[in-house]
Amino acid sequence: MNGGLETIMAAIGYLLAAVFYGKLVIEAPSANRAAWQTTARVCGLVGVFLHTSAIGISCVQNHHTPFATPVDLIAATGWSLALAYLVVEAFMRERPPLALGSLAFGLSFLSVFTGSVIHASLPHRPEASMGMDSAVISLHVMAFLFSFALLFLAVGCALIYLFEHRLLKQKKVVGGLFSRLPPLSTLDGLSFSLVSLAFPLLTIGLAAGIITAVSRQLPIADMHTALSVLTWLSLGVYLYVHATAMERGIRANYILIVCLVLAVMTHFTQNMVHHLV
Amino acid sequence: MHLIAFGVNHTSAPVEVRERVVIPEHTLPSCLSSLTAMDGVREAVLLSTCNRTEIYCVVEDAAPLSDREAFGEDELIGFLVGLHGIARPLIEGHTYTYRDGAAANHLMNVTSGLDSMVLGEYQILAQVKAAYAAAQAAGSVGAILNSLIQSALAAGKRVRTDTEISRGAFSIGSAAVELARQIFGDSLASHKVLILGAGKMSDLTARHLQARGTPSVFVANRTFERAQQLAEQLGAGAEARSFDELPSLLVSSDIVICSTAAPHPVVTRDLVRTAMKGRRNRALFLIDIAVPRDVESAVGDMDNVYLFNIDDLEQVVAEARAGRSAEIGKAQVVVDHAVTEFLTWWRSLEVAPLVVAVRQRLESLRLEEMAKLRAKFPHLSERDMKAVEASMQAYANKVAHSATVAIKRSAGGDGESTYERLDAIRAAFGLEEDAIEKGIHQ
Repeated sequence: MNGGLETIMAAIGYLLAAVFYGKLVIEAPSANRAAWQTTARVCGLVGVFLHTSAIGISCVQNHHTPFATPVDLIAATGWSLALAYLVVEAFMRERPPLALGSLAFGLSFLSVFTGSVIHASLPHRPEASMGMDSAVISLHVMAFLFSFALLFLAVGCALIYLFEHRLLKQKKVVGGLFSRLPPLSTLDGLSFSLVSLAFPLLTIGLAAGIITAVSRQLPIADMHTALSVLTWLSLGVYLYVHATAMERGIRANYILIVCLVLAVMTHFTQNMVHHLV
Repeated sequence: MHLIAFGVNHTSAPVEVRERVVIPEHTLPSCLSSLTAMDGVREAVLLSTCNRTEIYCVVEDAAPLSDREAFGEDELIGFLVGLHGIARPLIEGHTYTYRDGAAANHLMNVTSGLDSMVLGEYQILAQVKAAYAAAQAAGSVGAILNSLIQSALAAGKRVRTDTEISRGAFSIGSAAVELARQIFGDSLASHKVLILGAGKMSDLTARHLQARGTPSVFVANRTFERAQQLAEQLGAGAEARSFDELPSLLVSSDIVICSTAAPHPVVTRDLVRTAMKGRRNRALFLIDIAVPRDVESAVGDMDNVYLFNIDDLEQVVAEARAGRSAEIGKAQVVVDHAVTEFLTWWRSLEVAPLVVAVRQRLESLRLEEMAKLRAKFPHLSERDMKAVEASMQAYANKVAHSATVAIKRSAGGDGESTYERLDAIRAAFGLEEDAIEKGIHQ
């Protein structure tokens, strides 16, 4: 992986952002809380900037897209997740979901770290898949990447919701942590908004993938495609039950967790098409 | 000048005493006039709440600066006795008096909620602001109390933002509001409240919610007239409804406060289950402060329904109180810092005349020496004299600057050493107290 130094610095930025956001959630308010919040945001921004540079350097030097190898894809997942969170925070400046920030940057760090470890453990750089320079394939990968990043964030909200719901049901509502979590209605609304964005992106990603496979006469009836469609369907179910208010609150959040499990399985399930492309 | 804080509060006096010395808001202007008319009182502020009646004043003192025994408790007890026409023994032994730094520290503790019956409560900030406004209107505040009260208000705000002393619930009503905010978000403006039973507790809880922005309140009671009365008391946005409308009211309301005198639950699981369908699974927050309980406990197990009974809420309040106590140390640091800043500023005022006197002394010495020089060396040209004069001027300025810095540093210290250092500076420049006073007048 080229742009190694930038990648390491980006990983450090993500880690620091995760730690600082976590500190803001766990610790009691202090005089320099605003300064810590700014520091966390700056660390995250610097991480994203350096990571973007690293990806750019890698693309220029290796002459392929940022998603050409599984290792690159893992790292790019972290990048998209961090970027998606920063956009969410920009929209929620009044009361940013700091707990979500800690989760998002923690996952970004893990994905960059995992990508780097896998990369270092490989004797040779993995070959880039053929056809990755196609615009339609790039659209397919980008749409998947960002829809998964948004889904990750939505599930982060769902997990915080379930935790807070549990505290409320158990009447353990005293203490700073409970009051520093976002309100349930905010989390519920944010999850729904994120999935509302993720769903069309996933639709575009799926459509681009199927169009490419069909145009190249590649087989698509396999587990990867089936899981992709299942993820898409489950997100559709979530949106439907939430929008029609058949289910809200904890059950809707459980559906989101199922969506994420399916998405992760999709991510890690190789198929015929992806070997052949 | 001395700063005095004098008064009675919930720790020093029982309610029987406190209620006798309350100063009604409308009498504040005349009371402040009487106070400032007292011999030696330069500035005054009166703070009167249900838990305290306090007088903050700046008094002149003919005694030396370091002498702490002067105008104080006797005069101020006399003032309260005269004002209320009460017997002196009634309040004697129930008052406290703080002077200078301790007085500043006391006011900072008051505004920070550290001296309140409910630790960290917010109301006192507004009460101090009101007292300050009344004193400003009466023209009884000057530079010292102005600065003190503004510092105290700033410290009070800082304590509440930088520590968790004001976090959590103070009462069952505020516990309900905190929980509602955590469920529905900071703005409760779009959420409706239903009061079942027109008791005092539900009235108080509803008022807390109204204060946080819930515009619509439905009141349902077995006796419709009683519901109407409570709705009228709650003001605009409150509406009396028939108890028979309960099923539909549960659909349209998000926060339900139950305090009926019914001997059995009136909000059953079946009723809530049906309501939740109508609500399209929107969250429902039930506050059951009735004994016996109004809501079946099984309701609390339902999805998207949050049920808190009186015991749960009391537990929330008790735990919040315990949590706030742990924040006292942090709040004290903020208060100490604010007190130090105020005292430094105040002492810099006290030493301003000394700085003037030192500069005047140096200037007179310079002029004296220049006159001697002219007499001794008449042949010196005007140009040479100007050069000598400029040199002496520069020399005097440098000495004056060093002395000013030393005086200000001494003023920033604390305790008796401050006065000793200032005395040493006075002696070094051959300045007497009366000369300094004269310097001020000049």
